[in-house]
Amino acid sequence: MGDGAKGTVTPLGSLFPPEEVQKATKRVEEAIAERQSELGRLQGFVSDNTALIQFVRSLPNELSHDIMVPFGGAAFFPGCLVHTNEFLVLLGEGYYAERSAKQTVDILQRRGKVLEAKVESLKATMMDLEAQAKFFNSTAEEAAEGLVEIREEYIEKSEQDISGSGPNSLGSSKTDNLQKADEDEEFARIMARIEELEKEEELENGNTSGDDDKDILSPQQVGDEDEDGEAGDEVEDAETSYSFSSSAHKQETSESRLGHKSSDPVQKSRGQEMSSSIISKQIGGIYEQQLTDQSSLQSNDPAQKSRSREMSSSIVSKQIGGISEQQSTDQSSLQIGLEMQFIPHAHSFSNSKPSISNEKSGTSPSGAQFSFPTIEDSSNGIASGNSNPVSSGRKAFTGSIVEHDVGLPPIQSVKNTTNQTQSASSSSPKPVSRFKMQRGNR
Amino acid sequence: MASSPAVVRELQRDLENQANALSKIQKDIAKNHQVRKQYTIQLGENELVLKELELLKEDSNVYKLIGPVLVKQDLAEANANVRKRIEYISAELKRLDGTLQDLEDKQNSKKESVLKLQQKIQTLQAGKSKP
Repeated sequence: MGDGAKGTVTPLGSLFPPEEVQKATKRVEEAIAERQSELGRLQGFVSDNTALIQFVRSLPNELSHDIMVPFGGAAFFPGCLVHTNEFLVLLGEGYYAERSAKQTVDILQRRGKVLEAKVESLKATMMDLEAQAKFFNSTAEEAAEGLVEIREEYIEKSEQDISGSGPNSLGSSKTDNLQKADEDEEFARIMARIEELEKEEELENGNTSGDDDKDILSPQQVGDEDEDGEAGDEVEDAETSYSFSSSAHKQETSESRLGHKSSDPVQKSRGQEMSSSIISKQIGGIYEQQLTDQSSLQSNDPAQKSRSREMSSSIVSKQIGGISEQQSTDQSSLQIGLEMQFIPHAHSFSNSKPSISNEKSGTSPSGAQFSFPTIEDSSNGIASGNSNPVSSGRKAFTGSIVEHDVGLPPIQSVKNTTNQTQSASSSSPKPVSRFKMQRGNR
Repeated sequence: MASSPAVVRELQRDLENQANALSKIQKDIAKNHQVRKQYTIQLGENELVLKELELLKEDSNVYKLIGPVLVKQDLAEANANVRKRIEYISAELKRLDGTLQDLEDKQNSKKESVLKLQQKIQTLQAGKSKP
């Protein structure tokens, strides 16, 4: 994941010593055996009960039955069963009641129901125990095979918080790796989609007004939204602090944003697109932050600006309220901020940091910048010397981002021409492309 | 350290005593569990009996088995008896629960003290072996 991240490799065997696991398995198996015998007993009772009901039903059929009466321990003598409809039924605890055959059958049936209920509950307990035993067995096997649990700490402090919570919640060795793998996959997927959208936008921008982009993007939006939603979710979840800070920032950074001018009309259009996307909602807070943060930076990614616009007009704007207006006025580079937010999971913030640090110096968001401080710290060195904060920041991101760099400049120029039209249109797939832009810039 | 072996021995004796006490407590807890189980079963049975008795008509004959003798009982009387028995068993169960709780607390504290003693002994022995 992160370069230079500290990692611990723990063999599963040490976490779950095989002997202990085996002991636990044995214990569970014993418990299961107990339940099994109990279950057998109860089922015997049930069968006896049904047999008895049959017998009791048959007795009143005759006035008297000829039987061999047991006498003592080893003798019988022939006799008759009379009063075939009178039964002394044991109710329990030494109490007997005189009942007729039909009433006796009723009593027996009620008793049978109680037994069935007990059997059911016992079966449920047994299933739980069996599941436990299975788990223990599988763990024992894994430990024997030498499965290893790998935990890595994320470089970013914010990441560490996230990763700390992630592995803890997941708990198992596989989940850690899987989670990171999933996140990487998510990013890769999103990047791919962003690339596609970028290309489309390029075409669209070159051919038609921004409306076309919207139309084209809209069908993709669904997919993008999903991806973005996922990414946004990830990002959101990971950086709840961001979203909070963003809302706080919005107020404060809006001012800073006002000072900056967005050079890319495309961004405006993008922003509009964003508005319609669900993701923008999610990302809204993040974008807000980025917008404010990057007010001072020039937006290399027109998409971001447009996105910011979108946000203003979109649901996000609702969330952000007054900030959206400011966003429209500011077309500062939002990309970096956006990038930062989405990458926190797995990527270094070096790219975004420069821009963010710049922003931060300009603005003074209150308190909500949990993530920003970390970014600032890491980017302090970079911020001062960045002539191209956006591009440099972006380059620091993963390879997928680098790819976007190639595609970005041409897109930007195209977007400039369409900024007016695009500002009017709002399509949600833009968020995906936004990410792409951000990542590509890196 | 001439005194340390004596100290160690003393600590070990303490440890033994604590361990014995702990095992005793554990046995008590096990017995408590056993009695509780039995009482629970009896309670269930009595509740069944009460249900059946309520379903009986007023003129039905109820007999109670006392030893080898089946004694005819009044339905109302039988009802009352069974109810009282249920109450008694519930009270017993509650009492046992309280005792069980106490025993468990004592067990935990004893475990802790045993552990501490063990640690002390270990450190002493480690200290002794070093020089």
